[in-house]
Amino acid sequence: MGLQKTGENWRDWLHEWGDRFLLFARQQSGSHAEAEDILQEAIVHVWSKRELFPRIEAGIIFTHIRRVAIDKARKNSRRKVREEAYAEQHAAPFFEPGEDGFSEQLQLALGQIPLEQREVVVLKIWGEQTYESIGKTLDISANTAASRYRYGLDNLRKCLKGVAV
Amino acid sequence: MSLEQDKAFEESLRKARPVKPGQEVFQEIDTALASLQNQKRMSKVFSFAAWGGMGIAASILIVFGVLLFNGRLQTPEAAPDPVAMDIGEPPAEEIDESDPEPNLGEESFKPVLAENNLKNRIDEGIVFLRNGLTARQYRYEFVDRVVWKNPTNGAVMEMEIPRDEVVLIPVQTF
Repeated sequence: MGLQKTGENWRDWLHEWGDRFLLFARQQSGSHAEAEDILQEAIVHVWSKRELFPRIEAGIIFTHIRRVAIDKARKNSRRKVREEAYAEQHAAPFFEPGEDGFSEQLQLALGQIPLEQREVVVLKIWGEQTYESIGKTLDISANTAASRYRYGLDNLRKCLKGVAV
Repeated sequence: MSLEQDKAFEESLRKARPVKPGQEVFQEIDTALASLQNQKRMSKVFSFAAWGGMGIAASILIVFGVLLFNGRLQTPEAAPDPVAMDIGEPPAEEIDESDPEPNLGEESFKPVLAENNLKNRIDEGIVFLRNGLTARQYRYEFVDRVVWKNPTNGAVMEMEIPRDEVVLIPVQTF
């Protein structure tokens, strides 16, 4: 699950985890391009300071993705509103397209649940993180993370009602 | 909802595979990391130059101190007053020029070398300070060496002093 701090194997690791990191970054940003920027910045930040971490776990990257996204949002709040409006019209898919259209429905459903629940659901389902790790990433307790997950899952189920799951 | 239904729902969600980042992300990361590597290399060179400069400055100070200590340099306060010398009483003892054994005491040794040798730099890792800050601790192990020589008989006196300097550099951790 983790990456040893030595060596240059970040590419293989990112190949394995990149899709989940990007999905989480998408929840924090208005567009696919911005999410890629956030992901890139987070990876570079962690990797350039890898001597500080005994072992680089996925949770560290998720945490940094969120921090970078918050920093970017603070700096570019006005630009972000414009980009989000544009991105809504030209939204890149969160998921690989499937034949049954479930991926598109799921993306729509994720967009309808509150961000705080969406973050937890994404980290739990696709990020394969524990509640404790999710709590560290989002600066909340593990119990709060579990509670948000439960609400998020229920809301997602309601939004997907009628869709072949 | 039952636990089984929840599990089934979670499994169905997991079937949706998130989109992978594009190749340009990998290239951008490569470029950014290479650029950071260059910056780090340059900062190491600058830091080495800075430490070298400090070493030279310290050496000069030590030489100056040794000279002052041995009386080769005289401070204005210590300089003898020529008038007082003129009117003063003659010294109680005068050195006998014909003395077969000249004084070979400490006075006749001249400092010929003073240096700080950096032997090792140890990275002692991250330390947590009392004020809640985080810092990286480096230990620099020096051996300071001073050599005196007696020009009259060629006797050499050396002194080596091992010395450690602990340097704390604030770092930001997350």
